[in-house]
Amino acid sequence: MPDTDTLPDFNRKKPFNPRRFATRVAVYSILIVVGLFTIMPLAVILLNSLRFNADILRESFIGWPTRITLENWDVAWSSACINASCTGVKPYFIASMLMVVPATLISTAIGLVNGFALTKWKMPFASVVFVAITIGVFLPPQVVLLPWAIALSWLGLSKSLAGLALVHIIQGTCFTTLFCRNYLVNLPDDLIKAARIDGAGFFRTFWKIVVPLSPPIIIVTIIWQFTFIWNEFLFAVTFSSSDFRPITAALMSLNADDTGVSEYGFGSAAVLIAAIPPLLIYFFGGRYFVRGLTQGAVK
Amino acid sequence: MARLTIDSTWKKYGEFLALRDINLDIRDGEFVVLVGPSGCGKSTLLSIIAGLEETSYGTLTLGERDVTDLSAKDRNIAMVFQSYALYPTMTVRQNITFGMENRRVPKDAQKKVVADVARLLQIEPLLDRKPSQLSGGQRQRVAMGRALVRDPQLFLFDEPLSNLDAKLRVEMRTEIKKLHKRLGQTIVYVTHDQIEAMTLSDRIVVMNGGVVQQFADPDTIYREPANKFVAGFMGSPSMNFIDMEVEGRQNDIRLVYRSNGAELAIPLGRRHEELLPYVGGKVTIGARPEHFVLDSKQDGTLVPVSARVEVVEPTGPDTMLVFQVADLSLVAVLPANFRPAEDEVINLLLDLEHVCFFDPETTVRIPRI
Ligand SMILES: Nc1ncnc2c1ncn2[C@@H]1O[C@H](COP(=O)(O)OP(=O)(O)O)[C@@H](O)[C@H]1O
Ligand SMILES: [Mg+2]
Repeated sequence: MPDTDTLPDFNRKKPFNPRRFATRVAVYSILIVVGLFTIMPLAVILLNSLRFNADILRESFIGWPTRITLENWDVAWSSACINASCTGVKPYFIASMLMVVPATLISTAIGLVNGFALTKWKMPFASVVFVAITIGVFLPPQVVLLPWAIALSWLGLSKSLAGLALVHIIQGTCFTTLFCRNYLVNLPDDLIKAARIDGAGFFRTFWKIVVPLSPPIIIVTIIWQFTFIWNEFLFAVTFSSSDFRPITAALMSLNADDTGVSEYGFGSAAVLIAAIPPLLIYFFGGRYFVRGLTQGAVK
Repeated sequence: MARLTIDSTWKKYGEFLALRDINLDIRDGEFVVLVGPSGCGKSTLLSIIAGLEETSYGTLTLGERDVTDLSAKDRNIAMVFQSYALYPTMTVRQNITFGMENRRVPKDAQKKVVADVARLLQIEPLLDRKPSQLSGGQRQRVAMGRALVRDPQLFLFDEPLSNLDAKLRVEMRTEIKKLHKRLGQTIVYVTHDQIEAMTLSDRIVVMNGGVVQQFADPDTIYREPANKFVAGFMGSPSMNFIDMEVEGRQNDIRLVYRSNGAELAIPLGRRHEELLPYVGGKVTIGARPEHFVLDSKQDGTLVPVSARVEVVEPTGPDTMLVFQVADLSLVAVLPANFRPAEDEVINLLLDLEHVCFFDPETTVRIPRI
């Protein structure tokens, strides 16, 4: 019998290796420099949102605040002027939310159903449909701009919240379908066969078996769709008007006031306000995002 | 419980013929095992019986019904999968009741059936666990439970034991056999393990390349294999095959193998008549490892064979011997206490009474006379 009662010394130190140490130092130095460059723009904007505009203009665009104020945030939210209406970004923020949330949820739901039908149900021409959908992913958005304008006017949805949401739902379905298909393709076929023998049809199998197994990819898709649609600019500018304008389109007009003075202070605050929802999503969902992308359906 | 008839059934995947002209008549309450090498179409046939795949040609009759065009849920069949296919997000209880929910069985009836099956399979303490919290053997039981609650006309098993370790596999094998004895259901069971096939079945279907090679009871399959494929596939270690010349004349026929001056000659004695038509030609002789013996106490026609020992492999209950005759390498299974040295030349006796002869052209077994 081996002697397992006396424990060996588990805390043995590895001998110092100068070459390894030097490599470490070099690698970390490079990472730190790259990291600083990456975080710099955000830091500058954040600091500027806390400075008086006069200070920014007088001192320099990049600089440490000499005096701190929260007024920029207040102005940006509720009284800054955009195209001569001085309401701040608040109504545009709300408009974006009302458009982005349903568009995200609906495109995610459609993507999941599509992914299931394409991989686990004997769907005719599944591979052709999948190729078509993948093409949609790689199609540059400029190409579909005009067709969408025509389609929306036919539908009577030109420059409306519902119209833009529709554009994003359909454009986004290409992405969500791709994501969900690639996730669900790993779902064991036997599960679906067992459900068929158990007498479950398409939607019952989907609802009782596929959806409960899909939270990782649902989270990934929601994060992706929400950030993409929220940040999207081209469609937002093209398919909006003074009645309905998402925040990305509104920000563009923020600086253009009649005095000709650049409003860096509340401009920075407005940009940050617009960036908060995607940042929060990443902050709380980022872990799931990485996990969902790397994880199969069932281990 | 029901009888299952599979009539001239074919299956095509694109241009690939996965099943060719399958004809099986499975009796009520019979335990039939489909066995064959990987890719021979066992799962395909099972899927067709289950209604998960459509036939390309042919008809299926279950009980009194023609089920060829019925979907899986209307066939009254239960299936246990190799992967168990338990629904990972449901508890054991939900796994078992899912089918009943779909068929809108009243809750009270569900409760009773679950309780009965849980008791039968001794999974009562597991009912509220998730599949991921179960061991392999427990999952296997749950999968069987899910099949049992249906009270189906037919049970299908697709390699249900192949994910278990060796010890558990033997235990579950016995349990399945007991369960069948007790419930008397008709079972079609797929395996690639010929020992499972031999031990479990009333009758065995040996398949190869989408074709049924033989459908018979285990003893017949083992002793009177229809052809060389069946003979080689069933039995472990495999049957030894030697292509030999048939020489001599009536009542005095010998099989001879010659190679580089070495020679193996087997006088046929009592079995000369079957090979009479082959004199001047060749046959393949098939000898199982246990057809080689050490002593001549047994009756039968024993032919001495001088063998040079190559490898000695004690398996516990027996000694497996790889030996050389002429330039052939053959395998024998001998009593455990027999431990010759390597390269030793020993005398073995070949029991001619039980060996098989195959036509070398068609590979079909030459019938005994
Ligand atoms: N859906 C399918 N499409 C094309 N070929 C298939 C399909 N399913 C099975 N096959 C082919 O049919 C043959 C038999 O498969 P299978 O029944 O699974 O074999 P087994 O269960 O005996 O190992 C294999 O060669 C396999 O590649
Ligand atoms: Mg198989």
